[in-house]
Amino acid sequence: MTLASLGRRAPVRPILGVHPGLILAALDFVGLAIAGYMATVELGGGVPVCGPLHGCEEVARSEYSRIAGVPVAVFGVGLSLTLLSLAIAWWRSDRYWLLLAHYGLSLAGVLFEAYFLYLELFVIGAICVWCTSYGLSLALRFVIALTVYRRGGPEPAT
Amino acid sequence: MTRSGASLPLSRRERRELARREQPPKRTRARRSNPRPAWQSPMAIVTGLAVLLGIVLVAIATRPPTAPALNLVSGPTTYPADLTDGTSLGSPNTPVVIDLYADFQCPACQQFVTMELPQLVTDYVKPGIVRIQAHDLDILGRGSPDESLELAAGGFCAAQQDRYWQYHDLVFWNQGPENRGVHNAAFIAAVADQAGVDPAAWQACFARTDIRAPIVSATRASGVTATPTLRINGQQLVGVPAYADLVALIERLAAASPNPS
Repeated sequence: MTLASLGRRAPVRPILGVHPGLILAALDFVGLAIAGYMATVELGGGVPVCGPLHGCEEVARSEYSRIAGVPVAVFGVGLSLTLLSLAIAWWRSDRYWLLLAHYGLSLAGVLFEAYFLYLELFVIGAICVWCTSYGLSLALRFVIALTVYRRGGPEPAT
Repeated sequence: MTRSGASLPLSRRERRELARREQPPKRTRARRSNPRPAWQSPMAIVTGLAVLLGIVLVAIATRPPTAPALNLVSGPTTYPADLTDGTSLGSPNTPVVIDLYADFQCPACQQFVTMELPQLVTDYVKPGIVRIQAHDLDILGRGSPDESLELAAGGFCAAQQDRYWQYHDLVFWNQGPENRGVHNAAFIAAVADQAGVDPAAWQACFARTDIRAPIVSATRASGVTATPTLRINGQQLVGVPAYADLVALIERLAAASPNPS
């Protein structure tokens, strides 16, 4: 199928009776809440609390918690907001390019999260449960978007 | 084959024309037998773009962090490596030992460090009469992050590399107002950088969570409630002493010491 076909509306098979766009939106909201908490705390000059595990403080204090002086969590908020908008728009319109965009952005996010997990494990030597939870939610969103697209997208599976 | 309505044979041209009409168009057939390659599908294109975006993000994130361009003022004192040992400054067997209790955010401590310490180092530390042992306390820090505590943690990590006294002076010579966010992580990293630490090792140390609790415990255990506090061979002076008084006390203690330099 061509790129033009992506703009057409196509029927979506529900998952457990729910439109997959709503499932993606719910996961995007969870990601937004996690990233929002982290960003708020770090922009306020504090460090996130993760109870007895302690890794969050260590990761937040590390040089890797910021890119160009901006906390990584702020980028997470931006990504989650974009994904949430795409999921809701797809749910309302059934246009597959919105799902494809959700898939692509979540894939880019998953790649970055994989790199960040590597830093936590092998460079910083501490695991931040908030960051890992965000990464897992992102991976789940990527898998759902991929599966739904392959199952019912306008493009036949190759 | 015959012409319609007649039994005349078809000419070669007519037969060719008829065969062409019966054949499906070549282009259509070719398109069906050779579908668009998989790499040209929207899914493949988006996947490629996403991977590219991911790589760009990682590349941006892996750029070595550079300390902000702060115009840090350096103090006049140079510290020979043979006189520094962690947070200790001076020969090991001096007759006079000054325990200096200070908070990196304390303005009175800044006054002592910028106005009296350089002379003290020149007149008494380098000649081997006085050894100074620094104790960084967290008395003034408020909120999160606690700037006094963070500065002291930065000093601890600089001491691990024997760059404590360079760090110590840079902090005091560039001290900002208390608890206003001036002594943030970027400031502390820039100070450490200018003090000459190995940045990666210092950052790894500064990110540790176990280095701050001992500073808080040591503050409580010291019994010091005002800074600077100087304990000179056990005699306590609170606040910034007049330099003449300080010298007089050092001279008296040095003369009375069984271990004169």
